[in-house]
Amino acid sequence: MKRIVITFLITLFCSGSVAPANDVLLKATKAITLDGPPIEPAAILVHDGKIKQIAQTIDVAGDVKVVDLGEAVVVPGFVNAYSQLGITGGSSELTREITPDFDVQSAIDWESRGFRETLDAGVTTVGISPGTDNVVAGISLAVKTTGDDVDQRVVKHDTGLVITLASDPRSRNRARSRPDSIYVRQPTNRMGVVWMLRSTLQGVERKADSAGVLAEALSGKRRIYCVSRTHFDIETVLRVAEEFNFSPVIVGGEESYQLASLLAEKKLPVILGPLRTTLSAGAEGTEPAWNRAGVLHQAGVVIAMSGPDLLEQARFAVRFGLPEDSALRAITIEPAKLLGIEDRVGSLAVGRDADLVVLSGDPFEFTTDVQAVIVDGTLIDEEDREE
Amino acid sequence: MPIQRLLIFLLFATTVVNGPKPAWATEPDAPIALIGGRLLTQTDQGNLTGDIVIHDGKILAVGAGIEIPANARRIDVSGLTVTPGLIDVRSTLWLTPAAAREAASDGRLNALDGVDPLSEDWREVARQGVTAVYVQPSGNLGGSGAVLAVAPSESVDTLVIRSVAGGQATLGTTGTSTTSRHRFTQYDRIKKAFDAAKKYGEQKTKYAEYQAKQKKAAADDAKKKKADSADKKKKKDESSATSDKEKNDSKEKKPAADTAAAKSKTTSSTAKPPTKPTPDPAKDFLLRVLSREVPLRIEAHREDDIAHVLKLADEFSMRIVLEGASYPRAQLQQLIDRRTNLVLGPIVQLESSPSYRKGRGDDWLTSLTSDGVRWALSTFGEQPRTSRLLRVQAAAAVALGVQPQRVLQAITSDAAAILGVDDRLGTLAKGKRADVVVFAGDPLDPAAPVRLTISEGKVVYEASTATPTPIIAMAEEHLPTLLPKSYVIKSTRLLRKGTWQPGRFLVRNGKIVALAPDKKLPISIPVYDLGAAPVTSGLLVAHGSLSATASIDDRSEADASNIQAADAYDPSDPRVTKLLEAGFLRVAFSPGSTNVVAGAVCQVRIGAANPVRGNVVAMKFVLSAKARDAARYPGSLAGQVELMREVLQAKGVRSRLFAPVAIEQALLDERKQRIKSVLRKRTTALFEANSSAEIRAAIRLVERFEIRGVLVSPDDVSPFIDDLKRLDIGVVARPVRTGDYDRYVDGLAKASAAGVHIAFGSTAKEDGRMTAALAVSAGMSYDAALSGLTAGGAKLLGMPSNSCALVVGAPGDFVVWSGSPLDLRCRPTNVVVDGKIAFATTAPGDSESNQTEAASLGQVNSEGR
Repeated sequence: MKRIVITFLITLFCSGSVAPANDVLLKATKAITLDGPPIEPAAILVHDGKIKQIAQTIDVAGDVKVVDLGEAVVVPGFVNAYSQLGITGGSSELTREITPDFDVQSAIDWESRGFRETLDAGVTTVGISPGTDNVVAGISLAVKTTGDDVDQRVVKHDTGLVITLASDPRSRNRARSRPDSIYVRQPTNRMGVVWMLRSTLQGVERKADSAGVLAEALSGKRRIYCVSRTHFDIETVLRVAEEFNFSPVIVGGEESYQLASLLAEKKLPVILGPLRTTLSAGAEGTEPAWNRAGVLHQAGVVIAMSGPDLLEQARFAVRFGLPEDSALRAITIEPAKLLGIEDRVGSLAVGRDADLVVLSGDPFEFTTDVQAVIVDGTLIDEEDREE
Repeated sequence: MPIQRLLIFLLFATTVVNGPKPAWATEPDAPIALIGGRLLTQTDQGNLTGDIVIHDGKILAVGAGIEIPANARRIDVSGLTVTPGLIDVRSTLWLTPAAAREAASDGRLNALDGVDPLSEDWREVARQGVTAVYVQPSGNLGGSGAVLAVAPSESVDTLVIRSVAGGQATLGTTGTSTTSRHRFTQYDRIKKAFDAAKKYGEQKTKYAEYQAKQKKAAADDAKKKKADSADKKKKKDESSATSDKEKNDSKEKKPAADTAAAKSKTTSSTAKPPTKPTPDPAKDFLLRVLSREVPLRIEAHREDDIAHVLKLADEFSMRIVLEGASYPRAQLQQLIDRRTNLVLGPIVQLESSPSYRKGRGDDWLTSLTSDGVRWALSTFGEQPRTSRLLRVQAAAAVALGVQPQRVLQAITSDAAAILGVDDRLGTLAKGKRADVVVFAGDPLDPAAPVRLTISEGKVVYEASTATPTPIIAMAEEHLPTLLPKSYVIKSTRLLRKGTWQPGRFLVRNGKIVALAPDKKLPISIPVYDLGAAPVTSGLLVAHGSLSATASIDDRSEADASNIQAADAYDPSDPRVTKLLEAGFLRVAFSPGSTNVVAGAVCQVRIGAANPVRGNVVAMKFVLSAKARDAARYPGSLAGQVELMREVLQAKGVRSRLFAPVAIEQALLDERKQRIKSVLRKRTTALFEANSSAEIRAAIRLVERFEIRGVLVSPDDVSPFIDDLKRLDIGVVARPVRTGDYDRYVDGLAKASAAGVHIAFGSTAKEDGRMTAALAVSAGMSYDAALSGLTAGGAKLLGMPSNSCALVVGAPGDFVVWSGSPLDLRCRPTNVVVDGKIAFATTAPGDSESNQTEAASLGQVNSEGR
C-alpha cells in the first residue's frame, strides 16, 4: 500500500510540477499541527510551496489536484536544531580559538549524502553550526535539507552565535614546551577554555562597542548557543551567563538533567544531543540517563532534540517518560523557536512552509514509518530519497 | 478496486519506460552480424573489409561476402574498425583491493579466490575495448593466475576463461630488495620452493609406482588364485580377510597374526614401501609449472634479476614469461636469442612510478621488441580500472617507435598466445570466442571512441553515437638541423583558427613575419615543404609549475599575492627539456597550492632565450585542501573563502608577519595593485577547486566580484555546467589519474559541448595531450580539444592573442608532428623555437626510409639538439 501511495503521489506531483502554480489539496486521516489541537480528518491546501488553508474539509474547485493520503497521519517536517551537516573542508577555523565571524555557509556541500539521509528520516530543516574546536566557534544557520536552489534552501542565515564551554577546544593542543611552529594553539586545559571565553567577553564589555557579532550577542540581539555536556560545565555556563548577563541555549546537555530545576528557574532551554541507548558513558564521560528529557520536561525546562533520526529519539524519550505531545514538540516547534524560524517551519498553519512528513500511522507507534516527505510543497519521491 | 489496478498499471508503465534497459538484454539468442567494417583479423587473412557473424558466443564466419543469417541483428559498422577484443595481460580487474595485495612466497595463492564477481569496475574497462584480463596474486612466489572475461557476471565461474594460466613470481620489486644480496635471497627462495616441489613430485611418483605395483601384485595374486582349486581358494580368501582385519585391529587371534607377520616380512625384505606424501596443493601447482603445463611469469627488472630468471628457466626447464625487464643490459641479447616471452609496460606512468621502473632508456622498448620475440603490452594496473588505459599504453608504444601492427598484436593475438588462450582469443577467426570490438577510428588511438564491445557474443558496451576521429595519416617529415635566417614552411596541414588548413608561413629572424608570402620571394629563401605533416604552434600547459613549487611557495602567510611564480623558472630543469620534446612550448607558470592567494601566473616560453614573457596573466586562488594549514590562518574551507573575500575587497589585507613599516607598506601596495587588476578584469583569476563545495565557492566568488574566473583542476564539473556557461568561466582540466572514474572526462566532454571553454593543465610530460585525447574519446569535439591545447587555451587564460597561434608577429615557435597532436601515437618530429631547431627526432627503426626522407629535406642529426 505504501508503495502505491507513493507512486500515486509521484504521478500527481510530477504532472503538477509542469505548472507549479497549481494548488494541491492533501487529504489525510489526521494532521498534528502543533498550532492547536490535531485536525481529524485533515485537508491541507498547498499553494506555491506554502500552506494556504488547513481545515477538516476544504471545498475546492477548478485547477486543484487532490491527493488522498488515505490512512496517513501528517505532521510538520522535523527540525534538527544542531548539526554539522554538509560542512566540508574543516568545520572549525583551527588557526584561532576565538572566531565569532566564522561562517560555514560558504563551505557547505549541498549535495552531501548526510542531507539525503536526514531527509529520509523526515527532517526537513537543520541548524548547521561550526564545529566545537574553538571557544567562540562562529555563527550558525538554518537550512532546508533539500531544494533545487541553494540560496532558497537557507531559511535563516545567522541564527545565533555558537560558543563551546566543554573540553573540545583544548583537545589536541599542547603546552608551549616545543615551539616548533610560529603558531601554538591554546587553550590546553578546561580552565583555559573558561579563561579564554571570559577574557574575550570582558574585552567586548570594555570596548562598549555595540557593533560586532560578540557585542550583539551580549546585548541580547543575537542568540547564544553554548555547547556543554557535563554538569560542571553547565554550571560554569550559568555562572558566566550571570556575570555577563546573557541567557544561552544549552546544546548537548548530556548531564543537564542533574540541574533541571536550576535551568528551569533561569528559563534556559536545552537542545539535547542524540540519546545513547547503550550503557557506556556519553561524550566527555557523561553519565547516561535514559529519561533525561522527561526529567527536564517535568522540571519545566524547554527542550529540543537533535541528532540524525529525530523521530526515533522522540520515541525513545516517550518510552522512558516524556509525554507524547512534548516529544513531538521537541522535534518540531521547539527547535524551530530556538532557531528563530518558527514563523516558517515547525508547525502546520496558514502561511507556513508546506513542509510535511507523511507517516503511516501514529508517530509514536514503533511500526510507523515515514512514507513521504514534502518540502516547500514538493514531494521528495522514494527514488530521490534512496539515492 | 479499480483505482489500485490503475496504480499498479502506472507503476508498471513507469518501470517499463524509465527502467534503463541493459544493452545486452536485447534478443539473447539472435546472431549478431557486423556489416562492412574494416576488419583487423590478426590472422593470415590480414586486414580486409567485410562482415562478421557471431552466434552462440562464437564467431561463425569472417570475411567479405559471407552469408548473413536472416534473423541476425545487423549492425552497420561501415567506416569503423573491428578488432579482436583487447587483452590486458597483467591487471587487477575483478580482484578486491586486499586480494590484489595478498602475497606469498610458496606458490599457495590462487587469484580466483580473490575475485569479486559483482564489482562494477568492468564497465569502464569494457568501454575501452578490453574484453579479457589476466590477474594474479603478489609476492615472491605467489601462486596461480587466471584469465578472466570483462563482462557482467554473477559468479566467478562465468568469468573464467582459463583458470590456471600461469604462476606468479617476482624478483627485486619489493621495497627491501634494493641490494643484490636481498635479491639473491628472493631467487634462492623460488629455487628452493621448486626444489621442494620436485622432491615432492618424485615422492609422489614413487608412491604412485608403488601403489601400481601393489595393485598389479594383487591382481596377479587373484589370477593365481583363480587357477587354484575352489577349495584352496576359499581357504586363502579367509586368511587374507583375517590379515586385512589384523591391520586395523591390534587384538587379533594369535595364529592369524603369525601368518600376517610372516607375510609382511617377505615384502619388506624385497623393498621398503615409500611413505605416502601429504597432499600439498601449493606444490601440486608448482609441479604443473615444472611439467611445462603453465608458464612461470616472473617480474624482474635489473640485470642480475633477469640473469636469475634465465638460470631458473635452465635449472628446471620451465616455460618462462618475463615481466617488466626495465634494464636488461647485458642480458638483452640472451633474452632475444632465447625468444623469451615478455610482458612489457607500463610506458605511460601516471602516478609516481616504482624505483625499478624509473629512468628506463628511450630505446628500452624498441631494443626488446625485435623481430621474433613474442611480447605483450600491459598496464600493470594496481587499481582494477587501470586496464581501461591499455590503449594509452599502446599508443605510447607506437610513439616510442614500435610498428603499430606489432603493438596491436601485443594486446590481441600475442597477448592471447602468452596467456595460452590463443585457441579461443586474440584473433577474428571462425570458431573463436566472440570477443569483438568496434572502434570509431584507429584502435591504437586513445582518442578514438569504442562504438561496440562484444564479449562472448553479447554486447557489453554500446555507444549511442561515436563520431569517428579524423584519421590523419602518420607522416614523418623533418627539417634540416640548421635553419637559415629566413625560410618558408609549407604544409597541407597548418593549425590555424582551430582547424587544419593548407598554407605556408615565412619565418625571419626568429619571428613569423608573413602568413601566405607571395610567390615572388627571392630565390635565396628556401621553402621547406612538409607535405601533409601537421604543423602547430607550440602546445600550451594551461596550469603548471614544473614541480618547482618548493622554490615558489612561501608558507608563512596565506595571502601571497606578491609572489610571481615565473621568478622560479629554471630553464635547465630536465622537465623543461621533456616538455619541449613533447611539443609544449608555453606554460602558464603557476605557483603551487600551499597558499590561499597563491600568487601571480606568468607566461613562460619553453626553450626560448628570453623565457618569461609579458605581464602577469592571472592570479591563482586556492580553494582546495592543500592550502588549509592549521599552523596559519586559514585552516578551513570557510576560512579560505573568507580570506578571499577580504582580499578581493582590495582594501589591502595587512601582513600578519612582522616587517618594517616601509616594507610592509610596499608589500601592501603591490598586493593591492595585483588585486585591482583582477577586479578590472585585466588579470584572470584562477581558482583551484576540486570538490563540489569548493567549485561552488569559486563560482560564487566570481559572481560576487564580477571577475574573469577560470576553474583549475575540478573533479567533476557536470553539476555546474549551467553556472560556468552563465558566468563564462573556463576550465583548466587536471591530468587524468589512474583512479579516476569516466565521470571525470565525461564531465569535461559535456561541459565542452555546452560551450564551456576547456584548457589542459599538466604536471608531467604528456599529461595535457592525454587528458585531451581521453576527453575526445568521451565525446568532446576534436576541434575544441585541439583549441584547448593551443590558442583557445591561451585565450581562456587571457594571454596575448599571438600566444600559441601561427600568426604574424608571433615568435617563430612551431612544432612539426608525425600526426595529430590529439593522437597519442604521434610525436613531434621537429620542435622549433625562435626560428631555430630546438629538438628533432629521427624516424625510428626504419633507417633506410628515414634517410631518403631526410635526403629530400637535408640531413637531420638527432644529436643536434
